Order: sequence, then structure tokens, then C-alpha cells
Amino acid sequence: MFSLLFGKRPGQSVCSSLRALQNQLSTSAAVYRAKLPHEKMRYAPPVTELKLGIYTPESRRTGIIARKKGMTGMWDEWGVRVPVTVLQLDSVKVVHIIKTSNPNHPRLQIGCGVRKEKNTTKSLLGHFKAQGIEPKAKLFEFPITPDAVLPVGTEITAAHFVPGQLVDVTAISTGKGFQGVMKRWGFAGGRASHGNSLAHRTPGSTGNINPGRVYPGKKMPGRMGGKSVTVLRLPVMKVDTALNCIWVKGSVPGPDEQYIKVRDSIKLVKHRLFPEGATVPFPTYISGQSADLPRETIARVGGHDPLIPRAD
Amino acid sequence: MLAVRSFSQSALAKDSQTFIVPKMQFEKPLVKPEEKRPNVMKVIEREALARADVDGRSKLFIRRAPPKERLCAGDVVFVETINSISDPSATTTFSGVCIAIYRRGIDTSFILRNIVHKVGVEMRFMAYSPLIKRIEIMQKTTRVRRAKLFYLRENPGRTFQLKALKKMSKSASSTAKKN
Repeated sequence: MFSLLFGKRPGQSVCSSLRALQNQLSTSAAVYRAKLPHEKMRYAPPVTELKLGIYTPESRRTGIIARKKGMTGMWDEWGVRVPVTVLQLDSVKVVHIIKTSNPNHPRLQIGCGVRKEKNTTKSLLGHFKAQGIEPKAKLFEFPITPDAVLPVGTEITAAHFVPGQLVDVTAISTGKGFQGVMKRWGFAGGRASHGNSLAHRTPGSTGNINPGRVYPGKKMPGRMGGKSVTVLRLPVMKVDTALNCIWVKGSVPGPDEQYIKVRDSIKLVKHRLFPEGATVPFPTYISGQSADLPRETIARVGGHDPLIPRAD
Repeated sequence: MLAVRSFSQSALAKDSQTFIVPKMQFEKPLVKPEEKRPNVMKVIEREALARADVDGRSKLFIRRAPPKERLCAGDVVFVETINSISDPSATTTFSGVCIAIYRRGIDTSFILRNIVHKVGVEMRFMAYSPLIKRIEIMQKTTRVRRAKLFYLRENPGRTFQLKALKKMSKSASSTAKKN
């Protein structure tokens, strides 16, 4: 408009068009900046109180951080020995409800263990104080569905798990140091005899002459272990509410006393998450509201007695 | 030195719940009063042993006990096992020379070796398995200088020609027929 009114002054018109361009740029930048993650609209589900909900197959409960205590054995209802790992829930609490950009995918921050105040960094201590929770040794976030949100400060006990259900366990595996390709990647190695000289455990060739280089990701000797490993679909064999322990069938990565993550199994092709007819504590087991449980409950393996051969 | 399991406490529950409640319940964990911060694994093992030790068989596996009261390597041992929990009346017996004992709390086991039809046979038994009905020491060893008698595989000598082993195999077959 300015340039139309004072059309015979080219210098001015150039100046104004520049300004318009600047305006345009600034508006587009504002639009662009609105899409940046830190300027997004963020949602936190409104949590009023702790009360029981109804579990649906689409619901996803929170996972927990537990402590691996060690391995032992037990016998199932048929007298078959089952190796188990004992995981203890050491004052597991909901520390924070994480705001996310998608209202359908909230996350819960779960804390486990006890950390001394003097050993907590100031920034972390401020986070704990803002939530009104004593400092925790370990923190981790678990994605959940909006119906499984728990208020901050809720304690999650071993009764959160149902005997017979399946869980995924994520833990850092035992560090094995610098290892060769036979142990680290399962290479076959060389021959033991027939003129083999100093090449019993070597990786052999690392590639052809044609590219003249080694492809990235070539399996070679190096540091083994000490990485996060997830073991899928471990059945919960026993739940002990007095010791606050769950017994998981089989082994769990890493050394004893380390913190591990346990969640309801997510890859369930040809598997059931919970045993048929089981009452699922949803969103978690709430003492006073949920039905009382005996101290120890053992999973029912069911099916046919494996020690009696079948007729067919 | 006889240890027999009674089957009134066998854990074949038939209620319709999705879980099993153990017959023998400890309302409070078996924590000793002097334990201020109890080790969970020790408590669990203590409870498991208290449950499995219905017939006092744990006395056979105390390392510090005098040799007369405990199971030693070299003893002739008779073991009766039930074939399955759903039919506890059907049992199998085995007797042999104990060549090794592994003391691991609830996972304690021992190996028996015998010559059956001129073939060396070794059986490993979990001491606290609910399938083991009876553990009986038939004859104490005279003199053994090792904890593990694996040399008997190579140099048995006259070890497996003991009268107790032969007697036991006869009596066991007769008792099995009665059952």
C-alpha cells in the first residue's frame, strides 16, 4: 500500500518490500517455531485419586524398577523343577507424570530404592522436592495408556503382578571385557589340527579385494556385555507380598543386586498376557480396594501332567 | 536313619483359582530376630527348606553333623520316588553307592551309582523334590578319603559287589510288587 501511494519514489518502495519480506519471514519463522518440540502443546492426564479401573486388552499398565536378588529353584504343581530369579520391589513409587505432546500416550516416571539426600545432585533433588517424594536411587519412564495413570506418590507392590502372567525384563548384561569373535559373535574359528598355525580362534578374512575396505558394522573382537538386554515373555511363577518379591522363571541379565526394568509383555503372538480368568489389578494393586491376597501365590501351570506319557 | 514324606501335604490343589496358595503358609517371613536387614535370598531358602523338610531329611545333608547321622560319600543309599504327583501310589526305587553330594540349600542333590545288568548306572536325585518319597541309608561307608568318588567310574574294585546293594535290589523289587 505504501509503495502504491508514493509510487514515484523507488528507494522507498524497495525499503518497504524488504520490510514486507521481513514480516513474512518472521511470521513463517513463528509458525515454524511453534512446531518445535519445546513449544508444542503438552498434556498431562488429570489424575484425581487412586481408584481401581477396568482392565481392557488395549490398556497398558505401568512397568516397574526392581532389584535382582538372585536365583533359586522351585517345583510346580506337577513336581517339575523350575529355575527362578527373585526380583524385589524396593519401595517402588510413582515420582512424576510426564507431559507428552500426545494426550493418548502419557508416561509415568517410576522410582525405586533409596538415595541419601547428600548423594543426590541439586537438580535432581529439586525434582524430587517438587513432587514431594524422597530421593530415589533409580528413575525410569514407562509409557502407559491414559486409563492406567497413577497419582504421584503411589507405591507399587509385588501384588501388581499376577502369578502366571508374562513379563519383559530389561537389564544391563554382565560385562565380559574384550572378547574374540568366537565368544562375541559365535564364529566357528579355525581348525584344531591339519597344519593350522596360530589361527585357531581368529576371525579370518574381513572382506573382499573389490571394495578394498572393511564394511562398517563388520563383526570383530571388542567389548562384550555391559549392554541393555531385554528378555521377552518370562512367566511370573510366584508373588510374595510380604517380602515384596516376584519370582520370574529363568534367568535375567546382569549381576545380583542390580536395578532392572520389568513390564507387562508386549509381544504376545500365540501367548496370553494374563492367565485365563485371572483378576488383573488395574491400574495397580491398591490395598484396601483390591481383594485381599494370601502372602504367597504360585502360578498354576495347568495342562496335562508332564510326567505321565500321553496315550496318543 | 529313615526319611519318609507324607503325602497329606502334597500340593495338588483342585480349587478353581488361577493361582495356587501353598499349603504351608508363613504369615510372617522367617526372619531371625538378630537380622536387622535380612537377606531376602536367605529368608526364601529358609522358608523353602522348612516347607520341603516335612520328614526331617535335611538332617542327612548337614555338613557339620557327625558322619553317623548324615549322608556321606560312599554310603549305600536307597531312594524311593513317586512316578508322578497325580498318581502317588506308583513308585520307583533305586539303590546305589553315593558318589557325590552337592549341598546347595533347596537345590541340594546327590548322585547314586550302581551296576545294573552289568551296566554302570548313575542317578542324580534332587533331595527336596516333592517326587522323592523316601531316602534311606542302607550301609555306612567304612573308609572314604574323598568328598567326590568319581574314581569309582574307572576303578570300581569291589565297591558294587556289596551285599547290601544286592539285598536291597531284591527287597525293593518285592516291595514294589506289594504296592
